[in-house]
Amino acid sequence: MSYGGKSLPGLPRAALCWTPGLAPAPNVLAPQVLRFWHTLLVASGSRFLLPTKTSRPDWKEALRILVQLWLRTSNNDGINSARVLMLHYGKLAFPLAFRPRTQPPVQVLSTGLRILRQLLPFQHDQADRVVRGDEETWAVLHVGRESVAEIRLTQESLMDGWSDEDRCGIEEWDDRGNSLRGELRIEWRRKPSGPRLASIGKSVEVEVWFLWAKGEASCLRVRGMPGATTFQLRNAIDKRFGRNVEGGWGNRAGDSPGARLMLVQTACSAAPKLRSLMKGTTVEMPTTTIGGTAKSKLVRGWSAEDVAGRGSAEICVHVVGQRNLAIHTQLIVLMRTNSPGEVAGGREAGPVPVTDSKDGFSFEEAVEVLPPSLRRAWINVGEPGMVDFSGMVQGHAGESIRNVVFRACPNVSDFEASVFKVFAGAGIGRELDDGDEGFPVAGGEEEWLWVERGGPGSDRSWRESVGTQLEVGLREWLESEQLAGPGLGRAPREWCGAGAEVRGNGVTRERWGQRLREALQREARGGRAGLVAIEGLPTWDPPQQLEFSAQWADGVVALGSQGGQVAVARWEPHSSRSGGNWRPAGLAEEATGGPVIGLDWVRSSPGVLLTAWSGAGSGPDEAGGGAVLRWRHEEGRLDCVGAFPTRLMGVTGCASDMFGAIALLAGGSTVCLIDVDRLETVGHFRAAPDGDICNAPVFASLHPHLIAAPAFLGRAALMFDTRSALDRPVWRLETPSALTNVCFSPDDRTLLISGVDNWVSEVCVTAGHLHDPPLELPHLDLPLNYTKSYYTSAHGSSPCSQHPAVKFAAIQK
Amino acid sequence: MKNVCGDRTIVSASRLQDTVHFMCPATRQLLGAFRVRDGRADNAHAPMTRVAKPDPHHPFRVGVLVDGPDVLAPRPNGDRAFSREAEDIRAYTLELSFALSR
Repeated sequence: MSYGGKSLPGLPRAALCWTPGLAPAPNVLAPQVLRFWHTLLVASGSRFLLPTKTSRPDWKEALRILVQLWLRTSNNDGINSARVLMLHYGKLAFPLAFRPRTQPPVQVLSTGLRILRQLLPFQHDQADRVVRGDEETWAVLHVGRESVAEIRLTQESLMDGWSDEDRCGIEEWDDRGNSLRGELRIEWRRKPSGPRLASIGKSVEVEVWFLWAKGEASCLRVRGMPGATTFQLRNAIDKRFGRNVEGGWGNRAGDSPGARLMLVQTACSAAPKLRSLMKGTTVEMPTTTIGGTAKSKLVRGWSAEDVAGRGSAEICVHVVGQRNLAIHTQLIVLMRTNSPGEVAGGREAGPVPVTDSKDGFSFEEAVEVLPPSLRRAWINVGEPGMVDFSGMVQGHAGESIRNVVFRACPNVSDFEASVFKVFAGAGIGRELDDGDEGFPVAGGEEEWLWVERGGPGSDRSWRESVGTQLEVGLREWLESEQLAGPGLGRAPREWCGAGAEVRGNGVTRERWGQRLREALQREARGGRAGLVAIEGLPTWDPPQQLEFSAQWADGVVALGSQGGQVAVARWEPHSSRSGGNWRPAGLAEEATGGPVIGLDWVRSSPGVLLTAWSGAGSGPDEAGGGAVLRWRHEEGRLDCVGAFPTRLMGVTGCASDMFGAIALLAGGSTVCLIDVDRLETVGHFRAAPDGDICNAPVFASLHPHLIAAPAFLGRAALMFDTRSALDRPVWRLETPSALTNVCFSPDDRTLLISGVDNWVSEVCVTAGHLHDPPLELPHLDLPLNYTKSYYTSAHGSSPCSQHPAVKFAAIQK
Repeated sequence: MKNVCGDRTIVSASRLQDTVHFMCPATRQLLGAFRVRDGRADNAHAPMTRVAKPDPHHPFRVGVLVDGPDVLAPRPNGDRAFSREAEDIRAYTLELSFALSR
């Protein structure tokens, strides 16, 4: 039976067959579903089609989506753990199979929506339907009273016809055949007020740099007006870049040999919306089309002659906020032509006048011919908050590259670049392979290159060729000394980063191992290391948490008590002899509402201390939370300056990223991301299944987008990347022990994980596999012997010292 | 005992032990351990380490929170569990440089 006597445009006719009264039995349905899960349409008469509102009259009666989750209980074919999600679209049913262990429901729902959108010829009016004023659309899957999955509908996932009145029925069967009923609802929620970039400073500025290999630079500058949001900025850039690039440069295979233009995202410290702005994009840019189409669009004024002679080039898109914003985001665009030659012609130096002003953003293009010696200075001028350098190296996949010589920037000599490993399609990249947005072609310590699914080069042969030969572009960052600003106050480097003082204490890297051995030997011979009491809390309120500050080299430690008090103590060395004592330097008596569970000094804001506290009971009003304290070291005061906007049950800790821009508060299995400056929740995700305990997740040392979380009951370490979907980790490593804490190494190469009874091991951050064997510690067979481990910084490098973080991208030759 | 890790070491403490372990991540071996003993307990009833965190600026300083010797309270069913409110926790720093200076 065809639907309503009509054929649905875009659907295969065979799919329209429908047999009333035939309810899909899970045991019958699942094998077929699993085999043809993306194409099979299964008849179902078990749900009735309800009319609903729609903007499409021809689909008026067909826009009720009913969802059923079928639990397959048979185990005779090896798929007993699979579930079948039935998407009922009108009288049609779309079966989707997934495995609960690896695919959370939210991902399946997202996939289902995408498939439906592909199967059915929906017309999108995306922007209006995704965002309505200050609200945005969410699809929330409820089972019982609990919200088990949530999707913020994006332009990709939104399906026309959904309205805020839609309800989707859900049935899920547990192992005993009991039916759990729920529904999928569309909800409008107030948008999390992400950073209004321009509102922090006077304006926001995006600079698009075209750095040609022969020492020329071109610039496209986008300025946002005060009050502009990242959303508006993204739209403006989309209009300016994405559409023009796609439309103008296209993806025509016949245009080879073509220059390849790749947009690669690197680290970003700002809010998720800004990160999504910088989502990796790849665009094929045939040489032959640049002159014609781009001339009137993106790269105004460029001609084919300009491009043909340059050989290779980089295009770097920097999002440069005001100094205090400290955005470390860039798009690296690498372009390579196959016909290097002499530069034909040349452009006159000097900026081209402002050419556009739409949507509150002004665009300014500048094309200059720069000798290589001037490039660095020019970049410095353009980036007040940081200094960066670029270079190109050659290497093969899997090859370690060391002693990089910056060919493009020969004058760089004040620090060294090092790339530890580059490998194609390996490690974390494999875990991300099936992402909705594409797949990575190269991964490494810092960054992964993504290719849009269905885009150029997404076929297997191209992947393999990338896997055998890579050209790697290096980008190295060095923060300047001008990141200070208002808000919570990022101090100049010479004040907060005390690396010089530490290095001055005579402890060198070479001496460390020797001196530690001496101390251990003396201890083994009966010597006693000094035990110095830390004072600061009242004697009746015992300490529960301890956290050293990385911003003061002379020794500052915070203590959190069971009674909710927080104290700071400072080391006072004895003047006449060696040694010293801890002296109270500040006390906040009513800083929290419960026992202090976690402390974290904000690394880029001296004196700013985050604290997490737990509630007294299990009621909703007794949830725990977090607070921001400021230690005024001159006055010896510790004041509470704000509270986290989110309350959670079972708080386990708090942490902040390397820039101090985003903090996380963990409670139970939930992690909330909080804008530290504005004290607003900017996102949340479930780091572990319900009922599990996610013990104190932490941000990486040098990568503000990486969050590691230990699952206690689930016995797993999880790595999340805030730039990608947070509904699933980028990798999940099962461990033989329940995990109690995780700790990134100072260079983020390894993750130290600790479990029960002295089980300690290291994990490769990029690949997500255990270093084998675990560290050797004696086991006592005590199940409550919870172990916690941390890395020392033996040579005295402070976490807040400005490690140059290596960024790299890869490009196919 | 050879420490080839060079630039960093792992500090580890366990809840029902009185020692702070130092390990080399390169060789994966235990470099050594310090027993934490304060004035309130003798060697037979040493305090238990809750956590040991290294000072990021001082490679020879480790902050430790220690419980009293009896951190496990008996439950009605005979099991033992951590008491919810331990009243005898103390905070110290372990100054390894003192050992070197003696």
